[in-house]
Amino acid sequence: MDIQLKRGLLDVCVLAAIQDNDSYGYQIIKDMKPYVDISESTLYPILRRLEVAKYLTVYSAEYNGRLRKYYRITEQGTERIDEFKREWEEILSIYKFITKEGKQDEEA
Amino acid sequence: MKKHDFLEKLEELLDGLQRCDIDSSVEYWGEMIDDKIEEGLTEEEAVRAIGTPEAIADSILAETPIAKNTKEKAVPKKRYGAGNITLLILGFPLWFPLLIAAFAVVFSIVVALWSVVVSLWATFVALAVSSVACFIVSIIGILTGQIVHSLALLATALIVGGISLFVFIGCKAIIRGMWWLTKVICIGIKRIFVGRGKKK
Repeated sequence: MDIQLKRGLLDVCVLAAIQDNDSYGYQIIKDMKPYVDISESTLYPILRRLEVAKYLTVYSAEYNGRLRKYYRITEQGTERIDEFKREWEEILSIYKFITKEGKQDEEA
Repeated sequence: MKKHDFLEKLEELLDGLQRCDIDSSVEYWGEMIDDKIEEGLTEEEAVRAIGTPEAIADSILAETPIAKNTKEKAVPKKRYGAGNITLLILGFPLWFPLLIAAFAVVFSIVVALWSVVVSLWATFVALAVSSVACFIVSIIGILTGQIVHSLALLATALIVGGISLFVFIGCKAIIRGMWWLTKVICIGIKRIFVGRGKKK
């Protein structure tokens, strides 16, 4: 897959992973695993980017006697997910058009 | 590698980034290691699973925009580039003895010149003293009646005195010459270093 495209996709994936509950780094990776493989070193810059873009906020909470960083989605982050869904609905309808055309060609 | 060593090395490699960025990275990776340990890995295994500090540092630095990376800003334009310095060090056995030889030659020339100056002044002093001495003795001689010898001595005194004056003129000239030569050499040496700076 095109690297730039994948980058953009992964950003939104991470947002989706924290959409319903706040989460932490390791957990995000585990949640995404069935759908897309992402390593710790790939996740880190994504989290930094999303923080800079104000799509999420970071806070530390205690867990098992140590501090852990948690990530919470912001309103802007939720809007970004919705925007993404709209973009892709458009892409999907174009895709259907292309493949339907293809099918018609086959039948003909 | 232990977690502490890994994080220390990582911090080292990230030097140049802003403090908050370095701290964030170290915290993040420390957490990752801890999470892996929780999953059941040993400290060593967790660190190994993450990767090398070098690889992690590379990926972090690659993501950092140039403006945030103070390392890019802070490197000053070195006067003598790395290439020049390497040449300087490698060529050391070559240029160092030559430099010593050059200094030795210059030094001997300086010593020779000053010897001339010293001998000229010594000559002047000798002549002057002799002249004065003869003069005094001749006066005493005249006063004590030994006219002929004293007159001869007086003549000698005056002649030697005249010669010493000529020598004195030479002494002054040579001193002025030495002073001028010293100035020229010093300026020349200064220009070698200042000139280099200007060129670069």
